Amino acid sequence: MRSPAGPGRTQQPAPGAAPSGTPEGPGRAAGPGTAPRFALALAALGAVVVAGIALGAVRIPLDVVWRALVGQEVPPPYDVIVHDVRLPRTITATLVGAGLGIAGLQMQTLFRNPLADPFVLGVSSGASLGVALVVLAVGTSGWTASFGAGLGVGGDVGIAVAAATGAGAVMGLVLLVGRFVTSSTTLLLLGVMFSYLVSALVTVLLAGATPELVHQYVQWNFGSYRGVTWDDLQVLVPVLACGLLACLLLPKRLNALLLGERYATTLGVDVPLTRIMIITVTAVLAGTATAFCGPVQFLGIAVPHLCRALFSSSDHRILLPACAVVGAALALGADVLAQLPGDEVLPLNAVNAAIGAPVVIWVLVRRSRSGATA
Amino acid sequence: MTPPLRISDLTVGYAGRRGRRAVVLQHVTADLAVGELACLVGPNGAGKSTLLRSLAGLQPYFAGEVLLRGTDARALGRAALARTLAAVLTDRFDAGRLRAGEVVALGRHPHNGWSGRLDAADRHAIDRALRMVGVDGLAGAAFARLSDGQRQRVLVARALAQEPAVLLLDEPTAFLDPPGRIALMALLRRICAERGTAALVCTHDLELATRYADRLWVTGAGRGLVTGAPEDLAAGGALTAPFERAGVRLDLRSLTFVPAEGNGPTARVLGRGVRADLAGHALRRAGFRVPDGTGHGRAAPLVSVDVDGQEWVSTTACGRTARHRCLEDLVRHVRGIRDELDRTGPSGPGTTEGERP
Repeated sequence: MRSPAGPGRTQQPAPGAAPSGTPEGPGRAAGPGTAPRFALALAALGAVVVAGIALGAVRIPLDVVWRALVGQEVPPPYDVIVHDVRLPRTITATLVGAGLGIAGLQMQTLFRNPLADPFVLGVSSGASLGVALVVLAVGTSGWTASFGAGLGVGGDVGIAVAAATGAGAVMGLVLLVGRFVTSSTTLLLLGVMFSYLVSALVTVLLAGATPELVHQYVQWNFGSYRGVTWDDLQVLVPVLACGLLACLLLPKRLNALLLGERYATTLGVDVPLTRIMIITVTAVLAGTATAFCGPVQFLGIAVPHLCRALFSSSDHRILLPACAVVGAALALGADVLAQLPGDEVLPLNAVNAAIGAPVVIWVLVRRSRSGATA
Repeated sequence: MTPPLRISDLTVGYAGRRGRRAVVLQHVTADLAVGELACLVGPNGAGKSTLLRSLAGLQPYFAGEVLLRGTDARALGRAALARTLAAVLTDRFDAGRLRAGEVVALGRHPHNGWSGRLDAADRHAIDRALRMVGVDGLAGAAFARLSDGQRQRVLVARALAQEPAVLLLDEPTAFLDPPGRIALMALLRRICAERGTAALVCTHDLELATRYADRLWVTGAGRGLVTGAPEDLAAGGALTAPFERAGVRLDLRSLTFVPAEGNGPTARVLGRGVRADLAGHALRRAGFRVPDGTGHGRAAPLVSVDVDGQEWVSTTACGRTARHRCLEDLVRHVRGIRDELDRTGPSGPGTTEGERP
């Protein structure tokens, strides 16, 4: 489960930065090095995992949590809830959080745009179109019963397949058109325009739907890690793990892209190939996450900014594992917070936004104050 | 010996719609020798940047050959090309939290493995580049907070970290103040001399180029490229056509641009030394023709100026004398005389018509 965090432990300090403690760069040289920061982030992730299994409608004692984590038998009163609810939720949230954090980082670097997130190229709007179509088709053909009640929607196979198909179709379209586009900025605008078009289509579909179906769609739009079953995990875990592993090939190319595409080219980077690699990996990570959990918002945009600030670095060899660990911790943490009110579970995206929006605001205000070029 | 860069019969330009080609430069043939600093100069739109980008592999060329150390550039892989040739571009980028040392370390890209991990040789090359450029003290500083001059030096260090045989620089002095320009060109001189790097600098600044370049590559005279030592090109007239405008001429003795002298009145400066030269400067600024050296002008000067200790003494053609504590005062005085003459009669002394000398 923590495999994405692995490379963080072997991370080297920032290249060329360590030896000279110059007076320049106030607040940079001070503070702990990269390794302690990773230790801290991993500790936070560990704490959130424990909280994620222990807290909820039923409180579970810590010794039982420990038994569950190390894979021992869980005693009867708790076994069902740990095995069927808390563990799948924990695995899903950490993997999806890690994936969305990394995907957001890659999009922000590729487009050199601090507002980019994993969904800028239309993954979530494509998925929502697929879901809207299925919800509507089901609604008109009377399969509504198969949809399960309430928050269980995310786990439904039909919904997942529909979301994945929709996301894949829109991404494919963007990539296809993108082959004729040389500028990344144009590609970004294309993605945004496609999203608007698809959203318009979804709106039209929903306008004709019954209130119950609209409600189902809205529920899906809230995002949730709770509907994911062990059967779903057999697809979700390998796909997300492959996506996360593929990301390990990219830090060097992403670092070169920090200087802009032309500088990257003079450094020997195949920029068009790199762009396709980044977009494909992002589509796999964000598309899979959206298929099973709905469009989980704000993590993708907030986690990279948070990691740049926490690790005071722009080096992707540090940021990539950092986004995985912090993304996982934040995703699960937000979900734990969402269930704190007790019986009612707050919409996940509302909690994500409550955490994510202040982070983005803080980062942007700090950037503009420090006079960095936007 | 094989030159680091040899261009033969190159055609560069832009590919337009439906396969149309806008050729910018044609039949470009030139060599860049080891340790040579060449400046690519020409007016705006004459294809300097297009040629530089084509050489850097950033845009395809239509015909001809680019040989890097004897190998066709198109036959080299991306990484091999990047190990032979490095560039400092005009592109501005948001460096985020990158430190200057990290920017320089990115120059090791074509040398290190898939993970970008730096080994001892990489670190040595980075340190050497930082020291050569004189920014080793800034390695830990945030790149975004550096001044324009420091940034440009860090970017030169980044290019040097690639350990290239050929260094291409696109307008490296554009955002620098005059002392910064001189310092950067002197640095490039030193890099070429000490490392044997061949450098091609694309620049608007012909005066700077003539002062530092071993050879100039001049665009703008027809569709080709003319190369040679700055002075030879000046003597042969190759610099005249691309650069002269109405009202501006290239002074061949100083290789600087000066306003073409109109038919203003003449003034003469009698003394020598800095104060005399400054008086000449002030009079030219006031619109007078000031013949330099001992050459006797055709017309009697409207006013003569002599240096007397801390003051200047002006004497008009009709014998009026005045003393001036500062040159601002002198300028005001001689302008007054000129205006007075203009009012009393157009054929006053010193207003003989004069074209270019």
